[in-house]
Order: sequence, then C-alpha cells, then structure tokens
Amino acid sequence: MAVLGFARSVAAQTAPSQETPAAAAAPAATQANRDWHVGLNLRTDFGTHPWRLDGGVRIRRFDFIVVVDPMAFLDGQHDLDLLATMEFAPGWAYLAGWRATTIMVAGGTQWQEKSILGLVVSPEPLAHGHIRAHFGVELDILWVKHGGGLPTKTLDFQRDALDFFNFGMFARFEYASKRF
Amino acid sequence: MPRSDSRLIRRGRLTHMVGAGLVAGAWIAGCSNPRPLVFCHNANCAQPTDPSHDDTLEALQASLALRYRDRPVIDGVEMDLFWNGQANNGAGHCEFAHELMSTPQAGADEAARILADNLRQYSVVSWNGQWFYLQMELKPYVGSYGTKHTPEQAIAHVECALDVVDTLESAATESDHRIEFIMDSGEPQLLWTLRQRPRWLAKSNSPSRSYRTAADFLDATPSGFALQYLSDFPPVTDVVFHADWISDGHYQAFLSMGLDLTLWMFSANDEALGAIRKFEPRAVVSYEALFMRRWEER
Repeated sequence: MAVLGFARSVAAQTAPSQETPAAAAAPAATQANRDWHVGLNLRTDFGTHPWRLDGGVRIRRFDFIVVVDPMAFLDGQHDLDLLATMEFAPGWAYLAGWRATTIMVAGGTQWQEKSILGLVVSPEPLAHGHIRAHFGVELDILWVKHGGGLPTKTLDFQRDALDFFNFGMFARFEYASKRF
Repeated sequence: MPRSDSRLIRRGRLTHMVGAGLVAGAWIAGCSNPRPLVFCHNANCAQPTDPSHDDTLEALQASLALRYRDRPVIDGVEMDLFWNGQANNGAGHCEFAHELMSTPQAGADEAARILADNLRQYSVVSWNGQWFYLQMELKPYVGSYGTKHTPEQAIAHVECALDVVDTLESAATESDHRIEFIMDSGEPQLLWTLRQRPRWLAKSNSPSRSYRTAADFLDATPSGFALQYLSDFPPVTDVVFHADWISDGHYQAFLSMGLDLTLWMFSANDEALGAIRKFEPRAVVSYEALFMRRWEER
C-alpha cells in the first residue's frame, strides 16, 4: 500500500497542472509556501546523542535545518548538523548535509567532519499543519578528524575505513509556524 | 503583602535557584566519561593511524613507547597470532600477523621478546600502573579466508600462544610486574583446544597473574542468523565485540551471563564513543590509544 501511495504521489507530482491560467500566473510572493519550525531530533543509534534540538525554514520544496546538541553539556561532545531536504514527491524528500562533531578531550578538542545523505518520509501533518513528523535514514561518511593536538586522519580506504561509514535512522517532530 | 514577607519569598526563591544550580552542577560534574582499559589494536596505536603497520615489530615498539603525562598511554596490547599453514613447506609457522601476507612476517617469539624487554626495562609499564594486559587474538584461518585449522595445527597454534605467555611470565617475575593474559579467538575450536592443553590447565590466577579467555565476535550479528554462536565456544570470561555492532539485547544477554565486555573499533567515532558510554566495557581495543586516553581523562 505504501508503494502504491508513493507511486500515486509521484504521478500527482508529474501530472500536467490543472490550474487555471490565471492561477498559474499569480505572483509567487502571494502564495503562502514558507514557514519556520522548531523541534526535537531523535535517534536510538549512537550516531549522535539520542535527542537534539532542531530549527529551520521551509521554502517551497526545500527545508533548511540546523540541529544543535544540548546534551553536549553532559559529556563534552556536540554534533552540529546543517541539513537541507528537497521534496521530490509529496511526503518524500532527499536529505543532504554536514555534521560537525566536536569532542572534548583532555587538553583540547577534536573535530570530526561528516557528510550526510539520506531519505526522509513525512506523514500528513497534524493540527492544521503545525505539528509535523519526519522519519529518515541516513548514510554518514566521516571524511576527516582533526584538532586536539592529534594527527589529522582522513578517509583513506584502508582496513579502518569500515568505521568511516555509518548508517543511522532518525525521527524529527516539530512545531511549524503559520505559512507566510 | 507586608514588605518583609515578599523579601522572604524572594530569598526563598533565590535559595531554590541556587540549590537547583548546585544540583545541576554536581550532576554535570558527575558525568565524566567511562574509563575502560585501553588496549592497543593490532599492536599498532602509534599515531598517525596506519593499518598497513598492523602487527609489526616496529609498530609494537612505537606503541609501547607512547607516553601521556609521563606514563604509558596504554594498559595493554592486543596482538594477533596467525598460524601460517603454508610456511616451512607446510609444517607451519606461528606469525605475529593479522592474516596471510605475501611478505615474510615476524615470528610470535620476536613480538614476545619485545614485550618482555619492555617489562624488564620499565618499572611502570601501563597507564593504570598496576597491571599490564596482553590480549592475544588467535586468528581463525591458516591460509586464505576460510581455511580452517587441522587439529594438529590448532594444537601448534595454541602452544605458540602459550610460549608467548611463558616468555612474558618469566619477564614479569624478574621485573616484579603483574600481568594478565587474555586468550581471544573468533574460532571456537582454538579455545576448546586451549582448554585441553596441560600448560594452560596448570595456570591459575594469583595476585600477580590473571588468565582469561574471550569469544571474539567477528560477525555483526551473533543471533539466529549469524555465523557465530556463543554456545559453540567453551565457557569464557569475556566477549569481544565491535562497538558499532553490539545491540542492547546482546549486552543484556552477556551481562546476565556474567561476561565482561571488550569493545574494539577501527576508528574512535561518535558511534564507538556512544557505545562505550552506554555499555561501559571493561576494555576497549583501539588504534587511537592516545585519543581514547585523553577522552577518558577529560
């Protein structure tokens, strides 16, 4: 059923527009297709702390998100995500972004830089579009570790490369503003 | 409301806030990182990490020489013993190696000599200052991937590991060090063979010696779908698991069986550090010993 729903949504996306010529000519500025949102970013794997806070702006098919990590106060490890999603069918979006991990060690700080690629599915929002949920899978690639007075280490496809690729699953629950 | 009452209320609120701040501060201060033992992965934890130097004499020497705050960085060494069934015209050779290599590898006896010299040379040989740990992984294959030991090869392989134990025990006795040996393998046959060897049976724990065995899960899923089953192994004291591959279910099962956990990793990343925080293993096996030590000491 989910596959059928997905196929229908792609078909709807690619079908010729039924809009009247007047509606199609309406200036984009008058269409309410932007909002801002804040929410919780949750996961059960060890890719980051189990919960973080995110916020962002949604503009048409694109969503730009920043994720911060309040649990860093507990253990000195912070994962900052800069993410963008692009909806390719209603409820389905590609995900791409960057995760900068900061790890406090005695006498310094090491940074680990990762790229993120993924897929997000978003069910129908609730409360007139104000409450939204997103579920996703992601592939993280650790490209480089640096700082802290330790040698810089880059992905080099030796035996240890296995740990430079990690899959994760996440859920985001957010409050979205009124569209503007 | 009288003025003095409102002042009292304000003072009460302030006291609550200060109290809450102190509690929060104490909580945060209490959230230090776990401090498992740090073992040097494949006897190769000198920086920068270069897995092409795994299980080489040069890397072993450099790893033993690592210092942080004027102390050895590591608590012990995890090294591989590989039985090369093709060497010596098929008679075999016990190598200090990760796998079958195209170039000649050092013998296990040469690695043992370096470890023994280190014990004799220094009064403090580990970060903890009490015990030195040697985890020997007996590699499961005798040639290319999948080539299993014959019973004779298994005995020869295990006896080679026991020779290393004897060499280090002599050095530890001479230099008055405490040492623990962890015999580790992903191949149950080798640990069953070890269990039957008189030299191993003669070993007993004492205030200065400790002997353990570990089932090494090379496979990500020791479940019904897995290639490895804990039930295939003889009784062990430890399980060795990759930090990314262990689930809470595995952890709870191991805990209920009273087994100690060692986590190994290729790279100290988010996932590995998260697993250490969650499972608080007895030891970690890492290429990045210096990073792990500084992370623990934060």
